Amino acid sequence: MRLTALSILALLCAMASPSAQTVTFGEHISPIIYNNCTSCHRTGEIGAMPLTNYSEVAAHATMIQHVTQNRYMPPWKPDPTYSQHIGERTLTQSEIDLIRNWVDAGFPQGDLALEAPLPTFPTGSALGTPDLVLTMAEPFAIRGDNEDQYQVFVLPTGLAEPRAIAAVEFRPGNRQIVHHALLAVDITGTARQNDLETPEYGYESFGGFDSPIAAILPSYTPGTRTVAFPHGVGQILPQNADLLVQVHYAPWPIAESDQSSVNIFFKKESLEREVGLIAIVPFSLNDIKAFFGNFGGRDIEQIIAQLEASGAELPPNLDDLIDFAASANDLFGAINPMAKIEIDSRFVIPAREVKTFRGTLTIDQDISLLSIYLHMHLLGQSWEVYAVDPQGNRTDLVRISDWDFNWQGSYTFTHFQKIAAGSKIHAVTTYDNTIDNPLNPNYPPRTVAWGEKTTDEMLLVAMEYVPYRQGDENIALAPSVGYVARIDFDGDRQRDFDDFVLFAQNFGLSQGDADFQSRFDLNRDGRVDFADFIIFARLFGG
Amino acid sequence: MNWRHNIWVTVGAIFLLAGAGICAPHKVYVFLGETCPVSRHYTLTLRNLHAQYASEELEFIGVFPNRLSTPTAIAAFKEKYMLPFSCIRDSAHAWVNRLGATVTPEVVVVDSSNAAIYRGRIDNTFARVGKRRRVVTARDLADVLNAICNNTPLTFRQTQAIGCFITPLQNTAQE
Ligand code: HEC
Repeated sequence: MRLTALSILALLCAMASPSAQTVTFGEHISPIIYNNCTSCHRTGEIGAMPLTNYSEVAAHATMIQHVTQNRYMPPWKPDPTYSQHIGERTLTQSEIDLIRNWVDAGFPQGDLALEAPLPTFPTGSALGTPDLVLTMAEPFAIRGDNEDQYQVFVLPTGLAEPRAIAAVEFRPGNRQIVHHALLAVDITGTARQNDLETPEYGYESFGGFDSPIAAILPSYTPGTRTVAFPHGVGQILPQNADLLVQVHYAPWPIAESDQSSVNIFFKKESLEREVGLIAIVPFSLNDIKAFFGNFGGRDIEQIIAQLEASGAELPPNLDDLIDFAASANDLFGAINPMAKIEIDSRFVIPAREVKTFRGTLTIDQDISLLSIYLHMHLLGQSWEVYAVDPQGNRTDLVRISDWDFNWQGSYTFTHFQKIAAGSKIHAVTTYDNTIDNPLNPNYPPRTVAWGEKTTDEMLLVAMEYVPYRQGDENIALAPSVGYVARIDFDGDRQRDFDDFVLFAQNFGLSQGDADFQSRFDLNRDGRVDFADFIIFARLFGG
Repeated sequence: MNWRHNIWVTVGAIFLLAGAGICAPHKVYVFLGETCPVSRHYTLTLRNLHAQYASEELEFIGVFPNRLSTPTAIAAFKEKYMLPFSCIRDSAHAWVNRLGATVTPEVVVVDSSNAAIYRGRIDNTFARVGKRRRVVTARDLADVLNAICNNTPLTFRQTQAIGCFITPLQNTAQE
């Protein structure tokens, strides 16, 4: 009965819509560009070309056609048909086709009365008033030599007691040059010492922080939606901790400077579950711990000398372990080994070869995953991470087919992902160490193993989790703003009945129907159907 | 190796020495877009090439074909990225059509008779847009300029420039 009403409504709308023959900016293209591109493509933002009105979009029409056809833009690496993450940026095939047809037709302007409104972009914090603002002590000047620069800044928190974090928001000072930022916590003072030892502000470090870290915080890439932890869930910021921010500055042809800051929001309610970190790395953390102990800050050579002197038996892959431990040691404080990690072969990528690794982490208790962070360097090509429970049921976590170091980041699941005790999390990664990989930092290629330098490689999956609780599956990890906008169809910044009416009107349409609008197709499968309704309902209530 | 050969080598060397520092008259047209990230990236390379090769005979000229490139915007770009050569606006695509450029940045080198001897990329830094080579292995423009200044005869050569496509002027009949 209700479905019939929906279909009739849909039919009426279909009849009312104009012929889809002439694609114009006003009617068809402006909503696609303004809602998917303009957040980064306006003055002062990272996307160089402004796309805020007809003439700007038309002036770059051919290039817009090109970068949408090959899906370089909007930048979003995970495959949205594999798993859902907050802040997804994708165009549907029909949107891409619309753009192509519009450009081929000579990019007509059409009726600007039909032009979509420019969204209002938040200027301040997306979350409100932060409890603690940590700003870089001074502006940092980049060299401007067209090379990437990775600088770690140490921001002392000065906290008199440990506090529970609800959200962390990195705020780039110079949005044009800050390409991404990784955040972590140091409680050993090592990072401070590193900073003191270099004449400039901060210190340079490509692969990590060059310091033991006690926690990894959510990372930043342009367009990241800051996600606050759900009720009762949070991360602990230890007293007197130093916040470490590794900023990646994009290659830039002239000197510029940046002074970024970090907003921290503390939990108002008491903490019931602390967020922990589990990881897949190409070595068994347990084995390394068993062998080297938790040697935070101590010299590995010295440890080995001591072990040798004591007559202890050294493992056969000692060289690998040493390379790895030198940096993995930094992660020990942050990562819970949880259970054994296995990898199918030594982490070595021979020169002139394409190599795939399969790593497995066994989970020994029921947990809920919040987010997943992936890290590899310039030889990296692809990722697939999924979990299989003891009954053989599979949960897909993330898949990336064209890894781009510049767009690495953490991906927050739309909902808690339950992983049952006994499940295995599998990570499959591929590296291209041939000359066909233009990013290969070694020319001619050389055999590459684990290390922190640009010319080395890494394999790291880090996942935020909490111990599972009944009902976790229904907890939406809604971001502060933006995600809600996905079902705010009428643009009034509310998720209300009016949005439902709009959704209902479009129910049943699929790609190819004259009236089909991809924004109602929430799971992007080409149909506005019951599956979308479920997502709608979750977002509505969440 | 015989005496004839030696004489030719010597004559060649004398020619080379005489030619060094005097590059035959040529113009290097550099198509640029002030909103194109790849154009921006190459400003550093262009500054270096200009410092190394430019002279009264070998002139660099920046050409801005994007129809939004106003004189103010061009001047601001030239100043901010310290471009040491004159920059002109090409909103009617007169230069685009005459020299056959399709992308920014793209260079067209012409000789004194205005015949093109090279059209294409500056070097192979970009494998495609967004894929920046970490080791640059072909320096096409530098090679051409070297040849010019060494009086090595050149035949026309073309490469594919990577960057932002120049949007053709709108077919107003469509509106
Ligand atoms: C999350 C931010 C973001 C969004 C959203 C985004 N872009 Fe971009 N865009 C970038 C960045 C960063 C670059 C690269 C700039 C650079 O290399 O410095 C870029 C570059 C481009 C380029 C130039 C390509 C080049 O490198 O020469 C075009 C054209 C472009 N974007 C179009 C679009 C279009 C069309 C959309 C929407 C469908 C879009 N962008 C959405 C961030 C974004």
